[in-house]
Amino acid sequence: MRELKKIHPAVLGVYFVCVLGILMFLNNPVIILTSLFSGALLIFLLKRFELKSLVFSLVLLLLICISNPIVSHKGITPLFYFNSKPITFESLIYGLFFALMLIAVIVWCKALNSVIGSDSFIYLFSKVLPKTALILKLSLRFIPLFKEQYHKTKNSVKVLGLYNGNKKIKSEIRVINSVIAFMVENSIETARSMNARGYNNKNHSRYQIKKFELSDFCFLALTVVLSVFTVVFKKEFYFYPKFSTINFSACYITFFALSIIPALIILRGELKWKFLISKI
Amino acid sequence: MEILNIKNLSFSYPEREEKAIDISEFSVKKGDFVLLCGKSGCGKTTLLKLLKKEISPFGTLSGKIELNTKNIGFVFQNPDEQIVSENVNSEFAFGLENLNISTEEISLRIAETSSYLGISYLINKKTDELSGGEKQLVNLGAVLAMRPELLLLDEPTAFLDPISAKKFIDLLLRINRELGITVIIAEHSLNEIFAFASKVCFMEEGKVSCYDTPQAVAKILKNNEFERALPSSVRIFNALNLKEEAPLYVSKAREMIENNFKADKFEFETNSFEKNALCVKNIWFRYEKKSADVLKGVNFQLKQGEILSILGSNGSGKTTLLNVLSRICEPYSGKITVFGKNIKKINGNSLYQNNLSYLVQNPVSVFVKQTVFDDFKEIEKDEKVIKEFAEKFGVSHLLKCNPFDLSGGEMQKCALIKVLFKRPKILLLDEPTKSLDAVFENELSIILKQIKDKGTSIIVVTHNVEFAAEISDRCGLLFNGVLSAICEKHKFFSQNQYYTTASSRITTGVFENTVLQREVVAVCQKQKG
Repeated sequence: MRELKKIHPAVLGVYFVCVLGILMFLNNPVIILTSLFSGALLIFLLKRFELKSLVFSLVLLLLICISNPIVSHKGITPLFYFNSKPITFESLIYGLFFALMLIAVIVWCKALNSVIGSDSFIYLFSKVLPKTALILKLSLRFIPLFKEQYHKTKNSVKVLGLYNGNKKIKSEIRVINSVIAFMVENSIETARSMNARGYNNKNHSRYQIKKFELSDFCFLALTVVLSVFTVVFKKEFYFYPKFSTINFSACYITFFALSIIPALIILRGELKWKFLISKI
Repeated sequence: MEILNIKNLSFSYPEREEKAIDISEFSVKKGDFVLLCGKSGCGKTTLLKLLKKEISPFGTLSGKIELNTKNIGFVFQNPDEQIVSENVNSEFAFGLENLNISTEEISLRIAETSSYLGISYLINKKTDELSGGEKQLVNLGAVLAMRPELLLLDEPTAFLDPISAKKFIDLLLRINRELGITVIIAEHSLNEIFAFASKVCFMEEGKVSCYDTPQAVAKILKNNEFERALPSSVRIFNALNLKEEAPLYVSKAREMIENNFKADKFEFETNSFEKNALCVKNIWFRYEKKSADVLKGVNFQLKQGEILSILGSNGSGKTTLLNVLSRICEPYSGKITVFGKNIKKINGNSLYQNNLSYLVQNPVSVFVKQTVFDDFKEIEKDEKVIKEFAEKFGVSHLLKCNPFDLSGGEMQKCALIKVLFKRPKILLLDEPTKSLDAVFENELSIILKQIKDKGTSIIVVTHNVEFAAEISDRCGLLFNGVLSAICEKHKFFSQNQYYTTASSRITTGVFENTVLQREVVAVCQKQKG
């Protein structure tokens, strides 16, 4: 975890964009399964695995698997007829892999979220879109404030006897209204505080959280090379009307190598630590 | 050398006739620690904001403000509202980035400032994880990192508990002494700070009434309405008409009492209450299955027609206790009975109807409508009654205001009235004196005593020892989830040595049972004949 956070956020950003891009645009079952495997491994190593999200993933999988063949009747192998429309094997499998891809994307986004904190994310943005980055920064600050005020308001409305369990929606709207009014008032003071600290000055500098080091360059180079290889040697795969055959291709190897890097970095860090301890 | 010079300054807000600020002359020397005080709405905040150009309010300004520095730092009242960033580190960096400083220097300044203030352990935290006191220290640090020569603070401790407030003030004094930064601070609670200010400026209706050393101001403020804000030692001294110098802190006042008076005792009356209003038996509570217990077997009874104060430090579970009593949270073990009826068997909202009411901390959340009047109407349908109540509590002029435009004291009063429309038999109050000045605090204690005399039982949860001593019949200390033996207030405060009123600390060993300033004065006057 810490090993990954040492890497420059811009490099990590490029890495995640590459993995997610290849995963989404190649739409190849082998790539999907590979990314799912290494993504899951990464999440596990980051200690971000949750039973709740596993259940959610399984529900999503089931839902898409069932709904896709009902809507789409392409494919040549009918399993049975439903409402005098064919339910095809190809459509079922397409649904399955589409769902798996979605789950892989979710898993990777989760990893991205825990590796690149919001501060690094904003830092990346602030060079390109300084104003958007500031708004993002302020909104992130407002979310916990909003939550807290929501609970406070709800409690005080409850004890005034104005929270009616039978008219829940109306009562909730009342609470939210009050919270929004509070937040608007709040933001005026925030703006004042920003002005008082020279936000209106003409020249701003940027506080660099991390420096670009040689290891960052290596990571970046590796990412770019492996991604380019994967894209160049890519294999097209068709689900309809009939599955195309899966032949071995170099792109599978390169993608596997690409997607396993962060997990390896974490593992290396942990092994190194274990090794150090055993020496002591 | 003077850092600030004001000549014939006047300022009025748009569409208002009266002048918010009207100062003929005011100057501050470099390195001074100036305390601005006065009733709410006397123009303290306006004056401070006028000194900082970037946040000056709109209005008509005339006269001259001469500042011999460009680096002015400003710390606001509410710790939450002035924080911009999600992380402490970037909060520090925010101001420095605006100064166009290189990354190396930013890192250095953050490191230096946070170590100096002793908050380096906070640097990697998220700002919403901090306590109020820590947030305000971060705000101070973020401003100090910009290396101001003049530091302006607008009631920075109003939202803090007394311990954090004291820590904050101590740091400010240190900054002033060690770094020579000039400080101008507006404050409403003067107990901790009054003795240490190099000069005190007392304002009334936008004018500077007096501007002198604390000793001199203490004498001038005698018999002024604002005298209540002064430290107990000064007030006792003023009431006794002694000829010496006014003692500014406890040890001096003690010396004065020991030299002039002999050992004595204050005879107090005990009110006896019989019937129980609320009965709490062995309450256990925790927020989550795996978290630690917050309440660990709380037992007590609230008698009909009494005021019970529950004191305790931050995180001792005071607010949680009120949440449990008002059924916001369910205890996992124990029993609460309200007038002999199990609280669990009272259906839905009927607990809050003409029975038990609870006024939460920072009562902004009580208001939802455009005007105070509409807010009142939400509970009390009869307009006549609303006007009657408003008249009685002196808030008639506020009925047409937007609740958000009220000052802290006015808001607390209106929120209390809104709760009183429920005609509660039991009233729970959480930190009612937070962000109130001494004058409002006094008004509040008068109101609470009135309500009590009509038969309402009140529980007040507070940090404010002086307030608790003033209003309560009995007091108890909540510590580590357990409520210690509750006893009569004179007994409670005179047996405590640290957690007690200034009057009691001044007179321990000489007088017995003197916990309030007026009781000390009564005993002294009895001896003088």
